[in-house]
Amino acid sequence: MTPSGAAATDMRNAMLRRVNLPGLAVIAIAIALWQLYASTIGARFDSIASSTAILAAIKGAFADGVLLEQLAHTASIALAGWIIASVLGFSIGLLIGISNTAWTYSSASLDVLRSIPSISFVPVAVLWFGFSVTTELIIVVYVSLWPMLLGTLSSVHSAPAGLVDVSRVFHLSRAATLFKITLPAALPSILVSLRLSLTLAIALAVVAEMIGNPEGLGFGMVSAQQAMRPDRAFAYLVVIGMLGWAANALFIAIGRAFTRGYERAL
Amino acid sequence: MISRAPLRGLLPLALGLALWQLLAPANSPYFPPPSEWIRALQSLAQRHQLWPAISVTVMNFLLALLLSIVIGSVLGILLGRSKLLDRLLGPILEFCRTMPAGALVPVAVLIMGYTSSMTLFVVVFTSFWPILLNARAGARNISQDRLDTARAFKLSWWATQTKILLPSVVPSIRLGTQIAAPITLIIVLLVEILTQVSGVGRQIALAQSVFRSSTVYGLVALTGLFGLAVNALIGWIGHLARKYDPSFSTNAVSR
Amino acid sequence: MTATQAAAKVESNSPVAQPLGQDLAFRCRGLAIDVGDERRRIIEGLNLEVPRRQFLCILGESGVGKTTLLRVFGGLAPAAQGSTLELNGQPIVGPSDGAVFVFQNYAASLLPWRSARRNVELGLEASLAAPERQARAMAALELVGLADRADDYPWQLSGGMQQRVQLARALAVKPELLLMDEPFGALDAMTRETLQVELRRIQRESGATIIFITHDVDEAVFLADRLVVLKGKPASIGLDVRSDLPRERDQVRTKESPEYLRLRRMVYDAVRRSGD
Repeated sequence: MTPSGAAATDMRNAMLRRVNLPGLAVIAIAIALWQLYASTIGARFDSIASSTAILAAIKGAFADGVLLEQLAHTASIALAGWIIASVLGFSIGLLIGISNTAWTYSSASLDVLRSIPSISFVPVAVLWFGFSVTTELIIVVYVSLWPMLLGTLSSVHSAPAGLVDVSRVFHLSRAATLFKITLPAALPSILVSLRLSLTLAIALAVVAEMIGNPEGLGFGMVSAQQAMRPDRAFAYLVVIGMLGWAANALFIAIGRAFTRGYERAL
Repeated sequence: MISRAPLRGLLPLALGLALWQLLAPANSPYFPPPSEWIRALQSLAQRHQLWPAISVTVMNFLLALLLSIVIGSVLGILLGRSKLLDRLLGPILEFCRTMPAGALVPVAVLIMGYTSSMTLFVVVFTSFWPILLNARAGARNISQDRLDTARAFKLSWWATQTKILLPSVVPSIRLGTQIAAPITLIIVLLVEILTQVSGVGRQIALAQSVFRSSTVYGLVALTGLFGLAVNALIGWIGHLARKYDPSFSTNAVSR
Repeated sequence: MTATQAAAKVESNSPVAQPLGQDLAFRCRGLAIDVGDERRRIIEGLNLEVPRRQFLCILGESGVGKTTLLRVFGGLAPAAQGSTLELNGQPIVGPSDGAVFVFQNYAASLLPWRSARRNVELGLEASLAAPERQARAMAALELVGLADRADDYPWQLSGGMQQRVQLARALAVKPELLLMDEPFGALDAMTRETLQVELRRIQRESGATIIFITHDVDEAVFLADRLVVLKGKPASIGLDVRSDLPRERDQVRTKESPEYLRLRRMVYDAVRRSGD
C-alpha cells in the first residue's frame, strides 16, 4: 500500500470509529425487530403501530404541512425561551455570585425556591395566562432558568482555590479577576448548564403544548392519542425524540469547537 | 450545590411571603395570600382528597426510585464492564436518554392505559439515566489493581462480583441516586399532572381547571416541601457516604 | 529548653546575623502565626533576616507549618499580633508588590485556557503595554529555557515544563523576593534534578532572592546558600547555617563532596532531632 493510501485508510478508520457503525446497526435491527413484532404477534393490539406505519404517518403529516408547522412552533418557542432563560439566568447568577453580600442574603431563598419541582409551575402558568403561547413561553423560561442560574452562581462564587491565590499574588483588580480568571474557569460548567437548559426547554415546550397551549408537537401528539391513532402518536414521538437528540448533539459539537482541548486539562 | 448558605439568605423569601400576605385581599382570584393556601389545603383534607393523594405520590416516587436504582445499576455495570455492549447499545440509549419526558406519556397511555405500571414505566425510563451513567463510569474505572487482586486470590466469578466489583461501584451508584432523586419527583408529578389519574399532580391539575387558585398555590407549596424532603434525603445519603467511604468522590456524571 | 529559649540561643550564635545597614530583601522579628478556628499557635518567636540575592532553603517535617509560614511571608495569610514583617523595609500587609509565589500545584495555578506566553504575561497586563509585555514574557521564557514552546498550552506541556512556565511567570514581574513552596514536589526525580540545576542558574542570572520550602534534605542542601530548619510545637528556628558549597554545583560531584555531606548530616540531625 502506498504511503498516501495508508494515510487515507487511517483517516477512514478513524471516521468509522467516530461514527460507531455497529451502534447504528443495532438501531436499524431494533426498528426491523419492531416491524416484525408489530406485524405478527403485535398485530392484534390496536394500540401499537409498526415501523412502516409510523414512517408512513410521518411522511403523511409532513406532506400536508401540519407536522412541519408544529415542529417549527415547538422549536422556535423552545429556542426563544432558552435564549431568554440563559441570558436571565446567567445575569442573575453572575450578579449574586460576584457579590458576597448578595449571596449571603439570597442563597438560602434560592435553595428553597429551587426545591419546588419546576413542573408544579405549569398549572400556575395556565392559571395566570390561560391557553396561550404566552403560557408556553413563560413555562419554558421559568424551568430552563434554574440550571443556568444555579450553574453560573456556583461556578462564579467558588472559583478554584489555586487560581484565587494567583489573582492575589499578581494583584489583579476585581474586574481583571472576574474576566481573566473566574469567568474562563467557569466556562465548562456554564456550557453544561446551557445544554441542560436547552434539553429542558424542549421538554417543557412539549409539556406546555399538551396542557397549556394547543399548538406545536405536544398538541399534535395529544390529539393523535385522543384520536386513538397509534401510528401518528408514535410518529410524533419519533419526531420529538429526533428534535431533542439533534439539539443535544449539535450543542455538544459546537461546545467542543469552543473549548478546543483545554477541556482535557480540567 | 452550596451547602452552608447562611440563614439570613431566607430574608427575601420570608419578606416576599409576608408582603404577599399583607397586600393581597383574601378573595383575590389570581393571587390569594398564603393564609388562604393553608385554608384550601385544610378543606381538601376534610374532603379526604389530600392525604390519599400525598400517599400515592410518595409511593410512586419511592417505588420508581427503587426500580431506577436496580435497573440503572445492573445496566450501568454491564455497560461499564463490556466495551462491546457499550459500543453496540450506545446510540440507541443516547436517543432514549434525550427523549423529552412528556412526549412518552401519550404513547405510554395508548399502550398501557391509565395504570400505575404506566406511571412507573414513564418515570423510571426518564429518570434512571443518572444512575446508569454513574454506575457505568464507576464500573469502567475500577482500578486494575483491584481486579488483579481478585485474580491473585483466585476468587470465583460470583465472589469477584460481590466482594470486589459491587462495593467498588456502590459510591457511583450513590452519586447517581442523589442526582436522579429530584428528577424522579419531577417526573412523577409530571405524569400525574398530564394524566390526572391520582396523586398530588392530579389535585393540582384539577384545582387549576376549576380555577381554585389558593388550592393550586397550596399544593405547589406542598410539592416544595416534597422537594425539600428529597434534598434532605440526598444530604443524608451523602452523609452516610462520607462516613463509610473515604474514597468518596464528587465527580458526578449527570446527563 | 523551650522553643523560645532555643530560638534565642540560635539567634545569638547565628553565623548569619547581619550587621545593621546590610541590604536586606526580607526581615521578620518575633513572628508568630496562629491557625484554625481555635487560633492554635504554630510558629513562635521567629527571627529571620534575608539579604539580597540569597538562596534560602527552609526545611522541616511535614505539618510543622512551612507552607503557612511562606504564605505569611507572601502576605497571603496574616501574622499574629506583635509580629514584625518587612519586605525591603516596608511592612507586609497583604500580597506585596515585590514578592511572588511559585506554587507546588502548577496545574492548579496556570490558566489552562492561555498559552505559555499568555500565562507569563498575566502579572504584567496591568502595568505594561502589549509590545513591552510580550518582550518581557519572551525574555522570561528564554530564561527558563522554554522560548520555543511559548505558544503551547499547559496541557501540551510536561509537568516539569509547566512548573518552568510558572517560574517564568513569577520572574517576568522582576520580583525582589521569590517564594517557592515545594515547587518540585510533584515531579519525578529526574525532572526534579534537572530543574534544581536550572533554578540555581536562573537565580544567578536574574539576581532574585529566593526563599524555598522543601522537606527534602538533599534538595535543600543542593540548592541553598543558607539553610534554616523549622522545629518544634510551636515551631521556631532549630538550625540556621551558611552553606560553603561552591557556586557551580553538579548533581553527582557536589553530592560527593565533604562539605555537602557535613551539611547534609547537620540538617538531617536538626530535622530529626527529638526534644523541644
